[in-house]
Amino acid sequence: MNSFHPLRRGEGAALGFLVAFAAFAFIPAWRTVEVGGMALFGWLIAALMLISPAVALFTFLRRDGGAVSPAATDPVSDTSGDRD
Amino acid sequence: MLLERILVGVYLAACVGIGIASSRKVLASRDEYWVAGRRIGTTVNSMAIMAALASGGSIIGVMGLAYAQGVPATLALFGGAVVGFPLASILVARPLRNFGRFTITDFLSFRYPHSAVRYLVPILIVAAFTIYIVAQLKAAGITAEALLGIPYNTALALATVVFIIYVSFGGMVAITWTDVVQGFLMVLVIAVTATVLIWRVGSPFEIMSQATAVAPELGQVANRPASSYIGYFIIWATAIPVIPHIVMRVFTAKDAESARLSLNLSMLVYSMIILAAVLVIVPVGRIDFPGLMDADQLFLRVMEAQFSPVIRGIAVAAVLAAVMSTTDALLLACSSAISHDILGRHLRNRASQRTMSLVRVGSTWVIGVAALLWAFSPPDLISEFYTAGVGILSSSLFVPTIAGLWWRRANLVGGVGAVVSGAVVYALLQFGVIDVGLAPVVVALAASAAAMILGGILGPRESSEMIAHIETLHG
Repeated sequence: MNSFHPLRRGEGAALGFLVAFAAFAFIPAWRTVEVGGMALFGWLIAALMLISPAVALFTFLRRDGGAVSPAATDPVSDTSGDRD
Repeated sequence: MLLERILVGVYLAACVGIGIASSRKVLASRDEYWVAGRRIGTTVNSMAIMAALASGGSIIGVMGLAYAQGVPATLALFGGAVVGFPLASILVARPLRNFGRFTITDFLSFRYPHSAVRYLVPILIVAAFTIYIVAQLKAAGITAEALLGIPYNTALALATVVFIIYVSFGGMVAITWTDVVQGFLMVLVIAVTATVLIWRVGSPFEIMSQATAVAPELGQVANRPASSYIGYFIIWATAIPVIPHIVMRVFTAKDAESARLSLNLSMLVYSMIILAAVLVIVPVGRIDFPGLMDADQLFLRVMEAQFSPVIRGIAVAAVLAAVMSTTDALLLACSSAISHDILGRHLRNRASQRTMSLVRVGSTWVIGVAALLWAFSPPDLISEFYTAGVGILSSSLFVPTIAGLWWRRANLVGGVGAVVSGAVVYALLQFGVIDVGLAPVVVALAASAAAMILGGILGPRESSEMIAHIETLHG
């Protein structure tokens, strides 16, 4: 048995891409290269702030799984008739 | 300032009204009080999540920081949160929502059933979030004093009493609806301001070029060690998936997919606010007001120079809304740590419904008043304490949560070791007891992960029932 629960299709790739992009943005050399008056490091982080939600949203929208009912999977939930 | 005060007064009265209106239904039910009955739709939850994350620092602080230390450094600090949202959406939202309880402590103490987890996690949350609340209160007091001419202590007491009332009596339902209003105000003010400035001055690229021509330091990376940028970035990237006031919003979603979509949409709005503030409003302010002594006054100055009193009044309300929307969520998370995670465990089967309601309301008042008293004379280094607070939560909760959801070998020994080692190593590094030349959160996360891996490999295997249960959470 695999030691890890599997990620859904595309989700691992999306996370890997974002982590790689963030690591690329933090390369020290970009702190001294200027584009349009600002360090390239700044533009890359700004781009990351746009790419990150776009990638996450795209990954979510192309998913092939459906919603899971909490009641069907939640033996410890006590939400029904939840009164103290 | 009369018009601004009236607009803010109307806004505060509306918040109290929402809290009282919600109280009748909410106080009778734990499910309603902590997670709004788990029926919050995607659009409402998206705005509420964004408002909970976007604090006073996201409006006043982000602009002051960019003005003083440059745009790139500021984006690095706030960019971590944006990367944290995909982590939360993909790794945490679905299984935690399917878990179907109330708090992150509920999950961790179920996954790692040990008193060290049961008590240490809520204690860390209360300690970290009380500091976080004090920082927000300080921002509210300074803002009201500067923008409305109300003395710091008076403004502080007024704002605190207002949000204690609506949080303690209205619970998550009141927080959700006030956060929606507050989030809408924030988006409106930042979007309108940035749009008007773009229309008057030019595109963000033109604005940046003009600003950096007269103030080159605005586009440069401030002279700070790279580890500090990386550290702040990692703190927020790893905090978002586990930080209690965001996790509680996952539990309020009507289903797992709605929780995920809410996180994605809120991240989009949050990014737009930060980028509009830093790439448009700050450069224009830097051109118009080159020698500000207090950088945090930048937004006020820009609003004064560009807009009428009515718009300024709405802007003041938006700043207070930003402060309050984060503080109310923090207060509820803190209250849940005491009355649900710690006291609730012992009282639930012995106390009446009325007693439990009193405990919930009372714990909210105790924390709120304690934070208020501290905020009357807050420490000078409050921002460092507050970052340390969030850092200790990231360091102690991120690894055990992610491993507990995704690694089948994660077990009790590893989980307890990960929580304790993450917290202890972070505290030792952050407060200078030991120094290894790296950002504290990096070392603490590594220590937490090492403890989890060692415990998972060397400790007893997790029960097949637990593994099967976690399997069901992934759908």
